[in-house]
Amino acid sequence: MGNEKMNGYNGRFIRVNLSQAKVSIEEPPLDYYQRYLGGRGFIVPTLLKEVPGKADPLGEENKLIFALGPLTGMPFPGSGRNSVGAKSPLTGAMGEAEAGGFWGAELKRAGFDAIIIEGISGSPVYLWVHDGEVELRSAQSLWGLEVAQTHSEIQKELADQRIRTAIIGPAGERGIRFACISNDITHIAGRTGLGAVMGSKKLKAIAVRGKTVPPMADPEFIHALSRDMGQNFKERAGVWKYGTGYLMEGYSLGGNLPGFNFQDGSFDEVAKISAQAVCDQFRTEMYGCYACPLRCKKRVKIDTPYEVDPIYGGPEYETLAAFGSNCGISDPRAICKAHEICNRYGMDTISAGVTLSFAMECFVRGYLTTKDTEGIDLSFGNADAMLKMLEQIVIKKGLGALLAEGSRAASREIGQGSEEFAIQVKGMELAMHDPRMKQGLGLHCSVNFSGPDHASAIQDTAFVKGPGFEEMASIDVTESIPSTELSPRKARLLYHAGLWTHLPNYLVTCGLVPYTKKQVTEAVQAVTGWPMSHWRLMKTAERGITLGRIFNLREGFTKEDDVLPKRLEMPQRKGNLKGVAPDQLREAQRIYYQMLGWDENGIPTRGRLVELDIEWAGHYLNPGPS
Amino acid sequence: MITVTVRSFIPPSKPMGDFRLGEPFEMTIPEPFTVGDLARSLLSKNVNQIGILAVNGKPANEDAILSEGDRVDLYALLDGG
Repeated sequence: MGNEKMNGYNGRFIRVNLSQAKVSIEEPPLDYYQRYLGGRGFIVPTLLKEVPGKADPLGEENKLIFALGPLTGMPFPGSGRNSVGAKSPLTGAMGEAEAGGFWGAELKRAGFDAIIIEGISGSPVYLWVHDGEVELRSAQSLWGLEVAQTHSEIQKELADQRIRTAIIGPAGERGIRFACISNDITHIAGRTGLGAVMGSKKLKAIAVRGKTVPPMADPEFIHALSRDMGQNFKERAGVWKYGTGYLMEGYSLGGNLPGFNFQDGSFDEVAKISAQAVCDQFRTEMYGCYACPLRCKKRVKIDTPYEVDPIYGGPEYETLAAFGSNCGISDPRAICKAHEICNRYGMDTISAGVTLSFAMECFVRGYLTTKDTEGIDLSFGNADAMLKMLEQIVIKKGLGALLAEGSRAASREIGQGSEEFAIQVKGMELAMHDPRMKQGLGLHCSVNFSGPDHASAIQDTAFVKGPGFEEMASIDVTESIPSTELSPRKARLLYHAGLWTHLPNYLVTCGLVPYTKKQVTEAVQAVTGWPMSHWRLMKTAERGITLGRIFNLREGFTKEDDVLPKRLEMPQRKGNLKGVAPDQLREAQRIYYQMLGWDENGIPTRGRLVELDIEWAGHYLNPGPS
Repeated sequence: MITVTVRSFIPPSKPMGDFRLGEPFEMTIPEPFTVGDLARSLLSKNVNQIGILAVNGKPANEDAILSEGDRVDLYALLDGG
């Protein structure tokens, strides 16, 4: 692009081969950074090139990649995040997740843009990255420790309380398929089971500490952006007061709050489990992420009937709904305890909650009995039973061992048609947004390469009208479309708006900070000094989407895997929205494929690979692109 | 004039001294006044953040006429996390 400077980045990746206990530093060229930007953009092509097809996700050939973006660590809100990816042990597809907090910003200050982990260590280790130095250290004494203990022990060992950590808990060590990676105890890269990959490599943690922020091309712009958000965030969004989940009552009214394993779209007792209710009764403080004034994370403390340790934070929307309405549970104390258990041992609350709601429905239908559950009455609404079974998952005991494999694997074992109400796509459980209410989100969830990832999905309600709707013309969205519509024009919406909603995964920024599209684009320009336009940014996202698709095709996924659970074809039992029509979904998918430059089987065409300047990836298609 | 109880999860676009996000408060409004009128007068340009309107706990549209003692809830569009 004519500007040869590398502002905003360090220009260095760490590569760690755990089998050989070897650390090396790589310096990718400028055009690599400009083409892929960061986050998923770094992760997806690396996994496609370096992980052989059909590799065991928990084996030596899989690689685990932590990646930052151009904006990571820059002094403005939403820049503290990091992305992490590997072949997922939950789905067998490309897996990716992000976490907030401070770890990403700290890694940038420590002098690196990404860490590629390969091989398997002979004994437990952790990685210590500080001010340009990288060191592998023994984690023998940390193995088996809970998340908060591990964090504390590492800070003690390295004698620095400002060290940031990305840690797995016992769930990751035990290979629970929805184990997560925890940044500083409570900022979670939850989805696709990447904690199990880290555990399979015997890597307990990555500790980081750094003091040097890479230069920005236009620091004054970034400082002004930060000041603007700091002065005005309370007038732009409401999430700062109670955190996510503050709109649950509205969600329930609109049919978007999953209830009783997605049988319902609303929950009569929602007011008892909303973020507001939790804050009013149990909150000790709100806290936040690097350089962010929103402070949308809540910390809760409960003494009875369940002791909930505030060190593990507090439940956000997905957790409140997954363990609450979706399990028919109206006791917020039980939800907070379930959240604490997941954070203590390192598990994704969405997959854990939806796998439990699946087991509850099996129990209610008689597909599972007290003989299977070792006497636990796993009925919907039984909070004690939900917590007991969650603990059984943690230790992989009895039915818990099966549920630790996720709802798809469990439904295959239980059979009897239970596959129809295992609420998963490609093996990963849906987040707490009902595709019957948000049908474009459903279309996204059916196709997305890392499974039903709600964070990069479009939220259909935003395209009826809403903040900045007029600004959407800048990404060629000019037409208001009802949330419950599924049609060719919704596919067009998903194509255009979806590329934009994927973008935070490449910039590795937070979607909850209410920036305008213009501000986002200008921030990238101000940090890098590159002439990035909306169009170039969206094409970066499309490049990643296409490469992720090719990865999955190589793994044997086909268009037949682009389906939603049968349950979602049925109308909501409570909430009154009709089901997703399979023929409409298939037609919208077909048109969406075409817009992405994929053929009728969902295989990227050569023309689109050339257009995206990733023709090299055609090598991984068999047969090659048409 | 009538009095209604309002709870808004959307902040006004300009700071209001007595506004508390998500907490109920009373508003005195002229008659006739619709839910849309109320939302516009309260939120100003942030009215475009509205996702769901409710009157007395049930979904309502912008044209619904308010009555004495009604409770109005204003919810924003997006959530996640």
